[in-house]
Amino acid sequence: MHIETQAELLKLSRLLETDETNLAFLDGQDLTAIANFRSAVSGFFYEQHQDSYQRLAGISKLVPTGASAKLATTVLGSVLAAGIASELPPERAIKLADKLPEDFLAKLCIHLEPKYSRDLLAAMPDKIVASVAKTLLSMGEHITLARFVAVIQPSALEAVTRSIDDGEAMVKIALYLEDKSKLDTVLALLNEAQQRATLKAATDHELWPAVLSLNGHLNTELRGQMGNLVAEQGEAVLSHIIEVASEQRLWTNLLQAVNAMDNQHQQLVVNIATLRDAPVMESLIATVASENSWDELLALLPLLDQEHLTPAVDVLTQSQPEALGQALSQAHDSKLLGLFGHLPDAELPRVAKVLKSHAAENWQAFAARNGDAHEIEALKAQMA
Amino acid sequence: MSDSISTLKTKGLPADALAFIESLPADQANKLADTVLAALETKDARVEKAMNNALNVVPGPFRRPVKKMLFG
Repeated sequence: MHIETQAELLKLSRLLETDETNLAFLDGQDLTAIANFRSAVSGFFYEQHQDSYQRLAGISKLVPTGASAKLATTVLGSVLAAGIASELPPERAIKLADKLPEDFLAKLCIHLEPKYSRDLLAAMPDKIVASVAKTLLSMGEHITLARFVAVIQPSALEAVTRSIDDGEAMVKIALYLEDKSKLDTVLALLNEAQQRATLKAATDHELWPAVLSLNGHLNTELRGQMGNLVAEQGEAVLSHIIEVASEQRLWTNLLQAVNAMDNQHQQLVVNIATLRDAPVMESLIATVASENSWDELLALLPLLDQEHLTPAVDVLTQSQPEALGQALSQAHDSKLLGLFGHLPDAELPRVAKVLKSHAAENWQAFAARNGDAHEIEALKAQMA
Repeated sequence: MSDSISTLKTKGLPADALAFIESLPADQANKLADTVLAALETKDARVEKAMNNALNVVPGPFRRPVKKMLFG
């Protein structure tokens, strides 16, 4: 199961108070559709008691905040208090929050309904947010923290990120973020030690599928920054990442990461021995073909040394000969020229043979568009 | 339509959530509707329990009218 599907089903199973394995049948459904369903059901659950929350909130407004806080902890409990807090004006709820014990406030936050508590969380002072976040972190409440991250003020977010040094928690919070466009903001707030901690956690806690998947949501600059740190993890870790990309079909994410690295790190990663394994190369090219990420792959193929290029050409000419035709029709010409120009003379006969047998039309169109390109002169001669 | 789906419809589950359930194959739709309904009952019971706890601080003779006033 894809890591982001796992994360979504975990969030849904938590809402529905069931084990996530009971919802495994939803694997394959559109992720956004599941998330929208979860959001609608969450609101529906809340609305069943919203009238009562509103009435209790009305009474709470008549009582001094100190007394309200005492009532909340001794009589109401965190479930009711969460509903009431969402119905209070934010300024009143904040005064109340300031008088609640940290652990009670953290439990209350777990029960907040996202849609109805958005204004409250957005208005929370940095000091309270940071303190609650610390407690939630110690409780392993990564899903709740991810909800926090999505709505709190930038200054509060800075305070929270400064206080987190647990790499595993950082990866999980990022994975559970509803709006992945927030990832750039969050990652940019992490210092290099924190960024390195996320990568160490990925290795220590089998979180590479999450890191690879999340990488696809980053802007190019951050992707490059993280990519360079990944490349410095050593051959054993890089081989493991390649295996993960192969098993979970996360090749496109990995290729995007490698493309964003600096050239020295790219050379290092694309010439890792694991990439020479036939099943790995098969998986890479099959995924690229199904996800149409030819440009990402083709940009890197010219960096392969001969030892690594041969297995790639083996797949393109033997086990997946139709792939070259697809690449010719989908990739940018400049990327294809890069590959063809990098082919050693010894490889040209078998590439020419496959182009003739499986991609004649696409090749002719490509050659016509690039009639004066020196990169394909030798191949054209082979085709003649 | 299964009992659970009908019940959820009666209780006001939003149309888009119902549409998602009904877009699934019948056995999966029933399973998901059963799970949503079971969660709703668990959460109802939890809120009810919390409300009863809260009402316990109200003197006995006033509990029923206060409960009616607050929780309908």
